[in-house]
Amino acid sequence: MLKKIKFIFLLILITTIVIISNNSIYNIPPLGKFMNPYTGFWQNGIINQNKVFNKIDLKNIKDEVIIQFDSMLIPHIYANNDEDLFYTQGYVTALHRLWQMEFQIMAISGRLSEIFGNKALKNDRTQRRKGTVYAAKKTLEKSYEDENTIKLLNAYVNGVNDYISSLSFKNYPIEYKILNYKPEKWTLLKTFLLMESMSDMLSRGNMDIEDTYLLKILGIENYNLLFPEYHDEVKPIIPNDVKFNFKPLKTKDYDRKISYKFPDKTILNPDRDNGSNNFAISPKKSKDGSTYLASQPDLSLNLPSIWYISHLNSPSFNTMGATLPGAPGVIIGFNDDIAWGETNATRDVVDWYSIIFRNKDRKEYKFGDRWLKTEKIIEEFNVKDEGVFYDTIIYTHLGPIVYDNNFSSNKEKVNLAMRWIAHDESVEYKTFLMLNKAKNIDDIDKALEFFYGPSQNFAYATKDGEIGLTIAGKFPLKSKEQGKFILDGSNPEHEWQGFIPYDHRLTVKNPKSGYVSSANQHPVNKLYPYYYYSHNYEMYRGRRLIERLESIDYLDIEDIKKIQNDNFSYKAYEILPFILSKVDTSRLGPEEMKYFKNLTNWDFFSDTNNENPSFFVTWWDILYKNIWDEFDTLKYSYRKPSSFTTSKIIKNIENFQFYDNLKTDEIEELDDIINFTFNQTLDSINNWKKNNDKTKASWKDYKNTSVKHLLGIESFSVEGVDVGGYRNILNAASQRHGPSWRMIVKLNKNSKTEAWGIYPGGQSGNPGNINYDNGIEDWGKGKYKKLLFNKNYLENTSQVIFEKKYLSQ
Amino acid sequence: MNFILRIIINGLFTYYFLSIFPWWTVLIFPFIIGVIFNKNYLSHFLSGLVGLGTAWLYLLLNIDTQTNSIISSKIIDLLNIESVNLLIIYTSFSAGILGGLSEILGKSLRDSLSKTKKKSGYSFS
Repeated sequence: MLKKIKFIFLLILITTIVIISNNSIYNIPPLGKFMNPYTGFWQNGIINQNKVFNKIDLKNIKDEVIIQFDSMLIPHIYANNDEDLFYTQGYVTALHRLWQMEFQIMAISGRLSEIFGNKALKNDRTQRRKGTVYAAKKTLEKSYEDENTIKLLNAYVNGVNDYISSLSFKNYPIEYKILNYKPEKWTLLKTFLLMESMSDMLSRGNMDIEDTYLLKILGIENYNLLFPEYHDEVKPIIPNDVKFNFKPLKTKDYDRKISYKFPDKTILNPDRDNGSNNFAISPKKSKDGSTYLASQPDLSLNLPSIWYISHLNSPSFNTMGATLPGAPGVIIGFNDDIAWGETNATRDVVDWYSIIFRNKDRKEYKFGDRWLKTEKIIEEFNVKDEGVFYDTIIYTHLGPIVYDNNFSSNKEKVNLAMRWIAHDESVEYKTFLMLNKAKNIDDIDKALEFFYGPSQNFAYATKDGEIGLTIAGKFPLKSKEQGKFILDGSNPEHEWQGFIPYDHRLTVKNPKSGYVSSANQHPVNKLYPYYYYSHNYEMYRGRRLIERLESIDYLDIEDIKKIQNDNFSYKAYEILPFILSKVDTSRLGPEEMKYFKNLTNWDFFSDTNNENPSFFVTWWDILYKNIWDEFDTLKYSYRKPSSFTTSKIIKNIENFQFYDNLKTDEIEELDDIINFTFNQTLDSINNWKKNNDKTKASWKDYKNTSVKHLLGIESFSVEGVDVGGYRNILNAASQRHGPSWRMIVKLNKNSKTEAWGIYPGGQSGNPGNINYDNGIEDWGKGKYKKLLFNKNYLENTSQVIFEKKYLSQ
Repeated sequence: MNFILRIIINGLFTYYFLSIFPWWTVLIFPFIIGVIFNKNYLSHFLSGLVGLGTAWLYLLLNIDTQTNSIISSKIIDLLNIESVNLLIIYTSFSAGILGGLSEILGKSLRDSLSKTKKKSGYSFS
């Protein structure tokens, strides 16, 4: 009997250990599987890239395909037809970036709680309430109308799926092993969801609800002072001498009186540091008579990188550049004849409508003198370890009701529908596929007509020596200030009044100045006959860029590199001398005096080893917080004035109610807070030095630019990158944001197209691959890699680490 | 001699089985050995421990050297383990313990079966 008990006890013990080690418990990976030398994480260590390449098996190609990888691990795909080309692009992209591709889609579709459980549910609900999946489904339906595009999109999807089906646990990307889940099939819908995720990042920003609240609190005069739409200092993207030779569509003003309530807390806006810069130089402004295109998108610094560089070649394509994993074609790049790059064309394309329901069951809502029917969609969330959660989302013809009694409503009668341009069906992929093979400026014009959003400033250059910039996107037609504040969903007059026709778009071609440029600033001066608005136009980078381009008569490639890596702080240049002049030097001790003198002599370049940017940035942050501390007492979501507006107010208004610090009994004036915060800054810098065991607060250490893994896993991330710059600086590398791809293309009639590029990451998305983060160091130092770009694969052969011909099976 | 033989059988089977079947299938062999060989518990536990432990140790060292610890050096942070060597030792040791337990499981099965046999024998005498 005792022996039987012993046996049963051991049996239970071993079975329990095996079951525990085969499953993920409390976020610990399934240790047995995970540690297995043959299939566990060990297999994700890649020193020899052939281990990855040799797995490539192109099952469904119709004709011969050649794949080469160069030393940067950039794929060069040579196919005999377009379907094979995009099939292989899908396959190869997934080979290096599968986990990231799927994870981004899980995030935008509000499905992260399937992996992370309850803690991701709030975020998932927000995602679904924004209506992105609903919008992607609409776009998917629309896409079937365009047979050519859908054929190539499908080829891409098949390529991804053939790679996925070749996988077993052993060669899953490591994140699947850590989180213990499996890759799913890729679909066309996911490819459209990817575009929605770009829109979510780039075009969703708005402050309508916050500003409605602020207008009520501050009154119109103060509101306009603190949040002006336009500044005289603006140097717009479209130069002032461009004339608008069209008859604009008329807009009607509307009755602005509405009743509304505020949601408890508004959903997060996209990061304000998402931005970019691009410019093109015409042959008459370049030293060697070539046309140049430079493009630098500033986005969140993540690993795996947001971009994957590819070279695509078929009889109709020979295109290279940055691709988005999950999307066919090249997004920012070049071919033999043209080059193009985008920056975000910020514009208010999100509006909020206050909805009045007929009764509690919310089946009908008021619109004019009618009652319209709502559509109820029940969203299902398969929350890990907790089962299914349901959320009912009500759709009106104005969009999904994001805030209601189920979500962020504070139990008040808040019903706000979100009207967002990204909810409309769209055909962006058509634009990119056309652009990828465009030969001249006319082709580019034709391609951009199909680009609805997220609206972008496309700068382009051609081999013929032409340059141009077009602000492409579908923009709602609005009367003055329409949609700046909450609108009345029951009043038909408040609806968007149509769209600005493509023929009335903002565009500049071959200007006399010899350059075009953009850096997320105001698109155009006030003479443009259509009302446009954004709460978030950038006020520094655009001016610096234009001034740099103006100041150099003839540019060469080195000048262009210098501009992309320019660390000049326009903000410091404009405000620092003024606030320094207010410092009472008679009361400064020796240490304070040292900083004061250094700052006075600073040339405003935020270089890596300089201590002045650390001091200035901290001082400005503290000062800014002190000035606007009144806002922190507000009940609902709000925003604070921009840095630019703040610095203008400081310089121009001597007595201002906001200068007072609420925490003290006295009433402070500007001089008081400038002096007071100078000392606080010094304390803060000294504290930092003490905590970090440093004698100097060098900008790169103090700023600590980090490129973080999407899961935030520290050992998969790179911290303390040696890079200068900051937000509002052309080299926009802040803590977590920065130039996510630097590209320069040279086009010359008499020679082959040449290009240089670098990005803060590596081609492989695998943290165990030596090419995971190998670009970061060069990127920080402003070094570029010459890109291998030839029409014939044979010319690459001496420079590639892998080459193989695949035959149709 | 029998002890070393058992270690070798355990080690070899682990080495080959692991490359094809799920990791827990390597527990089958120490179990069978425990049933077949009639040795004491300690001896069985040790041959399981050493057999499986060594096989895992060898495999892990091998793959980690091949990849210059490129991935293991990152995973130790995730698992809060100080060094790659410790990670390898912990892992092999855990595998060894499981091997040992599995072998004495086999042994205990043998024991519990043989006892029943004896009992039925008594009833006839």
